[in-house]
Amino acid sequence: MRKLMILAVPAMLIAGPALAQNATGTVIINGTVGNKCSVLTGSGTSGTWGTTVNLGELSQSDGTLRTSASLSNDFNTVAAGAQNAHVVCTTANPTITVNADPLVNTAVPTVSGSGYTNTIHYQADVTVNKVSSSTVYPNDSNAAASGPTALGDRLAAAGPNVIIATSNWRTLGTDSQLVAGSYSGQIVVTITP
Amino acid sequence: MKKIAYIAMAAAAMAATPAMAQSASGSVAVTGWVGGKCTAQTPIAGAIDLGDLATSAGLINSTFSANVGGLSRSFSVICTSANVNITVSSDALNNSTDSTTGGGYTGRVHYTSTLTANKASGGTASAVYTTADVLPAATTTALGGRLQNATNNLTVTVSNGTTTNSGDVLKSGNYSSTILITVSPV
Amino acid sequence: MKKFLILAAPVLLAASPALAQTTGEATGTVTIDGSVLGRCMFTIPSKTISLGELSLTSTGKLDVSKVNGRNETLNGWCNNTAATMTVTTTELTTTTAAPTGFDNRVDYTATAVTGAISANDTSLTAGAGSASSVGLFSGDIVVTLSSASSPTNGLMVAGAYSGNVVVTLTPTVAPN
Repeated sequence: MRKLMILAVPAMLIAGPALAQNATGTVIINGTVGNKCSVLTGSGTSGTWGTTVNLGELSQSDGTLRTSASLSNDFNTVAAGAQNAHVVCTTANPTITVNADPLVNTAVPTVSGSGYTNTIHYQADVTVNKVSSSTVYPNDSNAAASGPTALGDRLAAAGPNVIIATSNWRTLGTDSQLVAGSYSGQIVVTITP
Repeated sequence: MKKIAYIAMAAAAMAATPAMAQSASGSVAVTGWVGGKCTAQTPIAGAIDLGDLATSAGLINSTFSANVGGLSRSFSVICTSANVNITVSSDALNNSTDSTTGGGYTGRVHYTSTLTANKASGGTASAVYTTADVLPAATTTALGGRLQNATNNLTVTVSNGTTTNSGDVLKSGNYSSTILITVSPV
Repeated sequence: MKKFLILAAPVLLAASPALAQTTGEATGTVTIDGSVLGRCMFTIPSKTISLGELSLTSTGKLDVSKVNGRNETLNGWCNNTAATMTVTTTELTTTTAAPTGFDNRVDYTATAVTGAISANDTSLTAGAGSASSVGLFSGDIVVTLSSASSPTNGLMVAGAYSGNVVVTLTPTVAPN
């Protein structure tokens, strides 16, 4: 029997083009943080803070205004921290406005020079703690509102960082006798991002 | 009568004998191959808008609940290989003006990207990547099987926003990050 | 060796609009209130008018000139617009009893004047005189005696006589 030689023809290796490919891509993620200031309360946040400070009897036994030291001290004692706030702003340089209004007994008008007055003036002193420093922003009740003034820095992270006190309680000129009745005034502090 | 019988036998004998012509044969082997490849049927691209990143207290909103349009994007990818690797990585969300951290404030948000692929055999495989101040290496996961042959078989989802120091207030401005996704045949 | 071609997929850059908000202020309001009680006070609360010898040397009867026109000045203030002033006058008396023909008592009127406001009272009737409205004031209160008399215009019993004039300043209670 003749043997048949089978010629094994080698398979031709065709070097094809590089056909293995990755699929790649990118997804862009965007977000924002708005310019905002908030007050951190015990339970959340708010746009406002405040309290009412009742200083009680404003005159001393001779009918004139109590000493500035005693009124300033009572302001802090009665307010007991509720006049202060932990304010958070996302911006690098918030501004502050302080407006102190005198205490006035609006029910009893008085005449300048009569020796009597229905108006008590004082200075509001607002201390703002910032990341790198602390500054007092004052406003006298006998002057226009102060600001807006740039803080020049971010607010300190720890609170309270806006602290309100008072000083220089006084009556004006020679009208030192206080008329009887109820007196009311206010301090408004605004922090803008 | 003997003649007839003889012929018949001869015929039968002849039929039982195979053809005795010789032949030569050869064979040609034919081969080809299909390289493993993965191709995006829809571009792996897009944008996710997280909206306002901060809570009212200026802290990171970790759930990104202010997002516009959802936190996931899906793509359709075809892979020919028997096994597929998926890889994901990203940078952090950085504030375009000031991404530094200090003094109780930060301009950087970390987050997690989860890349999930549907398997042909059923189920999914995921690669998870979370950013950090020092970015880790990309995460690669092998499917251990073929990629499902269907649309939207690959999904990336962002989640879990954090800041380097919890309690840091976010600096105002625009934040941006890029997620890199790769699907490779094995 | 398999070669790999990387297909660069197009990158879509989604430009997000600047969403910086300019609202979002934090405002603090501290209301301060207090009160001043309605009050009157004498800064000079008492004076003494020493009348000296009350009787006429010639007749032993009351010398009204020793009383009439005598005055002293107190000083006080009221911070209340509804403050009032009253005078309560108590006659001069001595402890010794007065037999018939004698008197041991001198009646008189006391008038308190501050600025344009005056109030008076006579010791002839018990109790305070009518109140006069003084309002807000601070200053001297001049108390002047007048209309001195003795009950029977008799001889004055010897002894030490004393009486008083009380000027009362009353604020109306002011709300706290």
